[in-house]
Amino acid sequence: MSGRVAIVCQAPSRWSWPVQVFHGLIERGFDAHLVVERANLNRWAPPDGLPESRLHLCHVQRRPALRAFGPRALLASEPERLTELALARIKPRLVHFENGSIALATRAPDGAAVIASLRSEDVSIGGIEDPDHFEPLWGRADAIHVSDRALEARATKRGMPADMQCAVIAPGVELSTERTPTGGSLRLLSIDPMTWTQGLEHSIQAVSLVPDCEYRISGDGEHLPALAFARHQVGVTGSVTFEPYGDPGPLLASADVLVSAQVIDGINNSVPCALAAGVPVVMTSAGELGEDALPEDVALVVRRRDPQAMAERLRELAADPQRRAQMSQAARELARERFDPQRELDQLAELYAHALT
Amino acid sequence: MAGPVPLIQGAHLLEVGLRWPPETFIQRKLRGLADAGMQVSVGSTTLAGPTPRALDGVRVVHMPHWRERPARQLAGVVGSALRPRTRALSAVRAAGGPLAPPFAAGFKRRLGLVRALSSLGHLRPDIVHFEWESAAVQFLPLAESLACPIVMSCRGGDIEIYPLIASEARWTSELPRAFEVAAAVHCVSEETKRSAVERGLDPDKAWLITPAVDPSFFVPPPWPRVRGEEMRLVSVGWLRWRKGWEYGLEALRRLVADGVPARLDVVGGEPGPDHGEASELPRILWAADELGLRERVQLLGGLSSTDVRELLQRADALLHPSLAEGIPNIVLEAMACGLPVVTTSAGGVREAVGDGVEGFVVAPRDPDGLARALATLWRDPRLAARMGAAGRSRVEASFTLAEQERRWASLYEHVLERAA
Repeated sequence: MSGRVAIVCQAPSRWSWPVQVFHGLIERGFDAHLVVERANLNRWAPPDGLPESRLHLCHVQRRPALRAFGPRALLASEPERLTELALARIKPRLVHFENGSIALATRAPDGAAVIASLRSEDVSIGGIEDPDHFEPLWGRADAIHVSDRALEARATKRGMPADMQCAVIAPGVELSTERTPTGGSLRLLSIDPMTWTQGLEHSIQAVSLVPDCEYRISGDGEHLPALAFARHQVGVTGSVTFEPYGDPGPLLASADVLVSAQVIDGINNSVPCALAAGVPVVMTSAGELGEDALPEDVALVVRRRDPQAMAERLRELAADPQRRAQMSQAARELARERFDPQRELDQLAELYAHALT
Repeated sequence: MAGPVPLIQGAHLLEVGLRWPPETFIQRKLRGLADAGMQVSVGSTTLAGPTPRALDGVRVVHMPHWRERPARQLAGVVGSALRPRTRALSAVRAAGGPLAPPFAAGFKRRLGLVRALSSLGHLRPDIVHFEWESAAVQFLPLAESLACPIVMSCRGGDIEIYPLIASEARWTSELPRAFEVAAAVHCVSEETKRSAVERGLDPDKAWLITPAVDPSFFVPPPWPRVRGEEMRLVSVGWLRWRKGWEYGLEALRRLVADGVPARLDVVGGEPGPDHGEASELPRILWAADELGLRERVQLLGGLSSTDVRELLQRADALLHPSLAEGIPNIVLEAMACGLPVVTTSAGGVREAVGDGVEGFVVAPRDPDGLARALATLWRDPRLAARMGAAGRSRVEASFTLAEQERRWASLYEHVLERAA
């Protein structure tokens, strides 16, 4: 099946899901377009390699003078309407919204099929004060896409109708990394947005209980002050470093363990990448139906908000390089089996075909 | 205000950079100074819309925020030039005069300060006071141009956190200059003073004035405190990350798992734009939901002092899981109401609460410790009553509003004396 498909997203990076899927769809003969909402060019640059004719930037902000003196109405009025205008120009047969908040705020053109991906943040905390938050989406979407069973369970709790087609498609990851050998201390890594949802204050506290380790946190976000203060308060300023988002390949190549302390439902996006790179994982539970999402020979799962338990698992791994090596091997095998990019695209194509019919 | 203090009688105090209405403890202070005969004016950046401007004896003036869009700032400057002579002169003086050198930081900030001065320049204060370190850093050039002594407050929290944040580098680099320019620096606790001295404060300028409460308003309940079927806990504070709400909820979960049928009332508003950080409300709702506490946690929003007092009187303990503090007013208010407190040792809390005396003090980020302390109080009502009584005595001895007002008067008198 092929056809014109528009993926609507916000400020994607080169490594992000929309860009990876976009390239995959092009390779499969889809007439794919990438629509970027709130394209603030002061803070974000389009990833390299995206053909201009297929990249649609909406609500562009790039000129400080315009921001300072331009008519406020032009700058701030409903960016979603500008996205809708772009979609009307593209005339897609199918619109795939990258996350629930975009899907709720933006309407697809009449006649286009609608698929909405629901992410951890969407189903866990999106509109958490409003029990009917997702009602409009259930009415508009032809299908829902989630990346694991825990998210499907949470979506059901948030009111997803029983007859809604919900495709659980594991993310595809392709990473070929040469791991550098371990030097002295244990090298820990998190690749996460710096938001409270990632539980990084707890992983920082856990690290304070693990002797002789280094912890890199790669990401950006508004919770950085809280993390900087946590690092200072638990006394690990010298061993925990913050850095902006970077290419996950090199980051993972020089890590011994990936740490995910996420406190919302779903498997953290960085976990499949780590497994593909052969990096053992210590992670918090993914939520209902997600408890057994990953076997213990690749990932050690602890309760959320429990730094002591996390530290204990990290100490176990620190003391046992052989176990880490075994986990690394098993992780690569599991990633090949479960997080295959070709399979993800097959399943997405199948989902699109179903939605279009 | 107790006793005549001649120098401050009729002196004009200008408080710059307050949100309006300000926190209850600042309102009390301003009213107290006005009652003592000072002229009190407030320049507020958040005064807008239907916000009531009235506070007995206090004049409130809107000053534009430098974060406003330059287009609006520019329009404001032009507007101010058309206003009465005094304001226009102030604005012109600010644009080209003593304010110029520090303004290299940015066009927007410069415009904002010129506009602020055009709003406040005609007030001719005898003292300018910044109640928050961030206001001092932000509006210091403005205060300097008013050519009067400057007092600033260090209230804890910010001085612990901001120096750790790269995006607040300007705050950190300009704070020592604010300390240098200030005639006196008020610190809410010894711990806060220690942090300020680390950041460049001359200890001789420091004035320790702790928070205080009115023990005739915050009183123990007129009825005997009797253990009910559930342990009633109260937490009060802005819904900001530094208040440690998630740790408090985790403590509640552990407490319930330990067999204590507890419930928690959370009182506090969401941070405003001037706080510059996101609300913790979604995080609190999520944690309560995920930890199975939805039925045990009630979010009440911001409440009046009278409503807070009633909650404290009906509660079994105050739970204060904060991560960064000066000395929190709510802890003193709870103690005044004869309520045992379970709190972290953040900031200067230990200067008000003795561990095992007026309540329990545990390390920040230790939900297990908080839960154990609460369970102890639940299982030993006599201990809880003893701690409550000790808290009341401690407040009466060391944290009364009357004593605090005396200290404020002394501070301002000292500053005016030196200026004279």
